[in-house]
Amino acid sequence: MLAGLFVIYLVVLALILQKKKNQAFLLVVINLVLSVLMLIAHSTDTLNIRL
Amino acid sequence: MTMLAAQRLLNILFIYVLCGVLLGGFIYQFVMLEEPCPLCLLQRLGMIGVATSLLMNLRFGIRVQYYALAILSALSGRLVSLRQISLHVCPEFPTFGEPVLGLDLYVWAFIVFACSIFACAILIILYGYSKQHETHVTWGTREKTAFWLVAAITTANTINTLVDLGLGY
Repeated sequence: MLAGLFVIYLVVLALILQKKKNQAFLLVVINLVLSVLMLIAHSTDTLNIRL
Repeated sequence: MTMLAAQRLLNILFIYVLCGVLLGGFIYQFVMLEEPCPLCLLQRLGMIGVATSLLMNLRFGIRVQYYALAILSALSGRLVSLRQISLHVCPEFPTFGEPVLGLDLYVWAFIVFACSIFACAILIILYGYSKQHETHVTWGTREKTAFWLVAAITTANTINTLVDLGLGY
Protein backbone atom coordinates (compact mmCIF):
# COMPACT_ATOMS: atom_id res chain seq x y z
CA MET A 1 0.00 0.00 0.00
CA LEU A 2 2.83 2.36 0.85
CA ALA A 3 4.44 1.66 -2.52
CA GLY A 4 1.16 2.80 -4.10
CA LEU A 5 1.56 6.24 -2.50
CA PHE A 6 5.02 6.57 -4.07
CA VAL A 7 3.56 5.46 -7.42
CA ILE A 8 0.93 8.22 -7.12
CA TYR A 9 3.77 10.77 -6.74
CA LEU A 10 5.39 9.35 -9.89
CA VAL A 11 2.07 9.93 -11.69
CA VAL A 12 2.00 13.49 -10.26
CA LEU A 13 5.50 14.10 -11.64
CA ALA A 14 4.38 12.85 -15.07
CA LEU A 15 1.38 15.22 -14.90
CA ILE A 16 3.69 18.12 -13.96
CA LEU A 17 5.82 17.34 -17.00
CA GLN A 18 2.69 17.36 -19.18
CA LYS A 19 1.59 20.68 -17.62
CA LYS A 20 -1.69 19.28 -16.24
CA LYS A 21 -1.80 21.44 -13.15
CA ASN A 22 -5.32 20.72 -11.85
CA GLN A 23 -4.92 16.94 -12.02
CA ALA A 24 -1.46 17.13 -10.41
CA PHE A 25 -2.78 19.35 -7.60
CA LEU A 26 -5.75 17.04 -6.97
CA LEU A 27 -3.57 13.92 -6.88
CA VAL A 28 -1.20 15.50 -4.33
CA VAL A 29 -4.21 16.37 -2.11
CA ILE A 30 -5.53 12.79 -2.44
CA ASN A 31 -2.08 11.45 -1.60
CA LEU A 32 -1.90 13.63 1.52
CA VAL A 33 -5.27 12.33 2.72
CA LEU A 34 -4.16 8.73 2.05
CA SER A 35 -0.89 9.35 3.96
CA VAL A 36 -2.78 10.56 7.03
CA LEU A 37 -5.18 7.58 6.77
CA MET A 38 -2.16 5.29 6.52
CA LEU A 39 -0.68 6.87 9.65
CA ILE A 40 -3.98 6.34 11.51
CA ALA A 41 -4.14 2.72 10.31
CA HIS A 42 -0.54 2.11 11.39
CA SER A 43 -1.04 3.77 14.79
CA THR A 44 -4.23 1.87 15.62
CA ASP A 45 -2.63 -1.35 14.40
CA THR A 46 0.47 -0.87 16.59
CA LEU A 47 -1.60 -0.05 19.67
CA ASN A 48 -4.12 -2.82 18.82
CA ILE A 49 -7.02 -0.37 18.75
CA ARG A 50 -10.08 -1.39 16.75
CA LEU A 51 -12.06 1.55 15.44
CA MET B 1 17.84 39.86 -10.22
CA THR B 2 14.09 40.38 -9.92
CA MET B 3 12.07 39.21 -6.92
CA LEU B 4 10.46 36.43 -8.97
CA ALA B 5 13.83 35.16 -10.25
CA ALA B 6 15.12 35.13 -6.66
CA GLN B 7 12.05 33.16 -5.58
CA ARG B 8 12.54 30.60 -8.34
CA LEU B 9 16.16 30.20 -7.26
CA LEU B 10 15.10 29.76 -3.62
CA ASN B 11 12.53 27.15 -4.69
CA ILE B 12 15.23 25.23 -6.58
CA LEU B 13 17.62 25.43 -3.59
CA PHE B 14 14.84 24.23 -1.30
CA ILE B 15 14.25 21.21 -3.58
CA TYR B 16 17.99 20.43 -3.64
CA VAL B 17 18.16 20.53 0.17
CA LEU B 18 15.18 18.14 0.42
CA CYS B 19 16.78 15.82 -2.16
CA GLY B 20 20.00 15.94 -0.11
CA VAL B 21 18.11 14.88 3.02
CA LEU B 22 16.38 12.05 1.12
CA LEU B 23 19.69 10.89 -0.36
CA GLY B 24 21.21 11.04 3.13
CA GLY B 25 18.44 8.72 4.29
CA PHE B 26 19.33 6.33 1.48
CA ILE B 27 23.06 6.42 2.34
CA TYR B 28 22.22 5.80 6.01
CA GLN B 29 20.02 2.87 4.97
CA PHE B 30 22.64 1.15 2.82
CA VAL B 31 25.79 2.03 4.81
CA MET B 32 24.40 1.31 8.28
CA LEU B 33 22.17 -1.49 6.91
CA GLU B 34 19.09 -0.05 8.64
CA GLU B 35 15.84 -1.03 6.95
CA PRO B 36 13.27 1.81 6.97
CA CYS B 37 10.04 1.20 8.91
CA PRO B 38 6.62 2.25 7.50
CA LEU B 39 6.75 5.48 9.52
CA CYS B 40 10.17 6.33 8.03
CA LEU B 41 8.74 5.77 4.55
CA LEU B 42 5.75 8.00 5.33
CA GLN B 43 8.21 10.73 6.38
CA ARG B 44 10.07 10.33 3.09
CA LEU B 45 6.70 10.59 1.36
CA GLY B 46 6.08 13.90 3.17
CA MET B 47 9.43 15.28 1.96
CA ILE B 48 8.71 14.16 -1.61
CA GLY B 49 5.32 15.90 -1.26
CA VAL B 50 7.01 19.18 -0.31
CA ALA B 51 9.49 18.85 -3.20
CA THR B 52 6.69 18.03 -5.67
CA SER B 53 4.64 21.05 -4.56
CA LEU B 54 7.68 23.30 -5.10
CA LEU B 55 8.22 21.71 -8.53
CA MET B 56 4.65 22.78 -9.37
CA ASN B 57 5.76 26.34 -8.57
CA LEU B 58 8.62 25.99 -11.04
CA ARG B 59 6.55 24.38 -13.80
CA PHE B 60 3.24 26.27 -13.58
CA GLY B 61 4.44 29.59 -12.15
CA ILE B 62 4.69 30.63 -8.51
CA ARG B 63 1.30 30.51 -6.77
CA VAL B 64 0.26 30.67 -3.12
CA GLN B 65 -1.75 27.43 -3.44
CA TYR B 66 1.40 25.44 -4.27
CA TYR B 67 3.12 26.84 -1.19
CA ALA B 68 0.01 25.86 0.81
CA LEU B 69 0.28 22.34 -0.61
CA ALA B 70 3.96 22.22 0.43
CA ILE B 71 2.97 23.32 3.97
CA LEU B 72 0.23 20.64 4.11
CA SER B 73 2.74 17.99 2.96
CA ALA B 74 5.20 19.16 5.62
CA LEU B 75 2.45 19.05 8.24
CA SER B 76 1.49 15.47 7.30
CA GLY B 77 5.16 14.42 7.46
CA ARG B 78 5.56 16.26 10.75
CA LEU B 79 2.59 14.36 12.18
CA VAL B 80 4.29 11.07 11.27
CA SER B 81 7.66 12.05 12.79
CA LEU B 82 5.89 13.28 15.95
CA ARG B 83 4.15 9.92 16.14
CA GLN B 84 7.50 8.12 15.87
CA ILE B 85 9.12 10.40 18.47
CA SER B 86 6.22 9.70 20.85
CA LEU B 87 6.68 5.93 20.30
CA HIS B 88 10.28 6.11 21.54
CA VAL B 89 10.06 8.99 24.02
CA CYS B 90 9.65 6.77 27.13
CA PRO B 91 13.02 5.73 28.65
CA GLU B 92 12.17 2.01 28.67
CA PHE B 93 11.53 1.96 24.91
CA PRO B 94 14.68 1.63 22.81
CA THR B 95 15.35 4.19 20.06
CA PHE B 96 15.08 3.11 16.43
CA GLY B 97 18.40 3.03 14.53
CA GLU B 98 21.74 4.71 15.17
CA PRO B 99 21.57 8.43 16.06
CA VAL B 100 23.11 11.01 13.70
CA LEU B 101 24.88 13.93 15.49
CA GLY B 102 23.17 12.89 18.71
CA LEU B 103 19.64 12.89 17.33
CA ASP B 104 17.59 10.04 15.88
CA LEU B 105 16.59 10.24 12.22
CA TYR B 106 12.91 10.80 13.00
CA VAL B 107 13.86 13.78 15.20
CA TRP B 108 15.89 15.15 12.28
CA ALA B 109 12.85 14.60 10.04
CA PHE B 110 10.74 16.61 12.50
CA ILE B 111 13.29 19.46 12.34
CA VAL B 112 13.36 19.30 8.51
CA PHE B 113 9.55 19.56 8.35
CA ALA B 114 9.54 22.47 10.82
CA CYS B 115 12.19 24.26 8.72
CA SER B 116 10.16 23.54 5.55
CA ILE B 117 7.09 25.23 7.02
CA PHE B 118 9.22 28.20 8.11
CA ALA B 119 10.85 28.46 4.64
CA CYS B 120 7.45 28.30 2.89
CA ALA B 121 6.15 31.09 5.15
CA ILE B 122 9.14 33.26 4.20
CA LEU B 123 8.65 32.48 0.49
CA ILE B 124 4.95 33.41 0.74
CA ILE B 125 5.92 36.75 2.33
CA LEU B 126 8.41 37.35 -0.52
CA TYR B 127 5.71 36.41 -3.05
CA GLY B 128 3.36 38.96 -1.46
CA TYR B 129 5.98 41.68 -1.97
CA SER B 130 6.68 40.87 -5.65
CA LYS B 131 5.11 43.53 -7.83
CA GLN B 132 4.59 41.45 -10.95
CA HIS B 133 3.30 37.92 -11.50
CA GLU B 134 4.84 35.34 -13.80
CA THR B 135 3.43 35.49 -17.30
CA HIS B 136 6.11 33.36 -18.94
CA VAL B 137 7.45 30.38 -16.99
CA THR B 138 11.01 29.34 -17.77
CA TRP B 139 11.80 25.62 -17.72
CA GLY B 140 15.59 25.74 -17.94
CA THR B 141 18.40 23.39 -17.02
CA ARG B 142 18.24 24.15 -13.29
CA GLU B 143 14.51 23.42 -13.15
CA LYS B 144 14.90 20.26 -15.25
CA THR B 145 17.76 19.02 -13.04
CA ALA B 146 15.63 19.56 -9.91
CA PHE B 147 12.70 17.75 -11.57
CA TRP B 148 14.70 14.71 -12.64
CA LEU B 149 16.43 14.53 -9.25
CA VAL B 150 13.03 14.36 -7.50
CA ALA B 151 11.82 11.83 -10.11
CA ALA B 152 14.89 9.62 -9.58
CA ILE B 153 14.54 9.72 -5.78
CA THR B 154 10.81 8.93 -5.97
CA THR B 155 11.49 6.00 -8.32
CA ALA B 156 14.23 4.67 -6.02
CA ASN B 157 11.90 4.95 -3.02
CA THR B 158 9.11 3.15 -4.90
CA ILE B 159 11.42 0.23 -5.77
CA ASN B 160 12.85 0.20 -2.23
CA THR B 161 9.34 0.08 -0.68
CA LEU B 162 8.21 -2.66 -3.06
CA VAL B 163 11.29 -4.77 -2.26
CA ASP B 164 11.08 -4.19 1.52
CA LEU B 165 7.35 -4.27 2.18
CA GLY B 166 5.78 -5.63 -0.98
CA LEU B 167 2.17 -4.47 -1.42
CA GLY B 168 1.47 -4.25 2.32
CA TYR B 169 2.80 -1.84 4.94
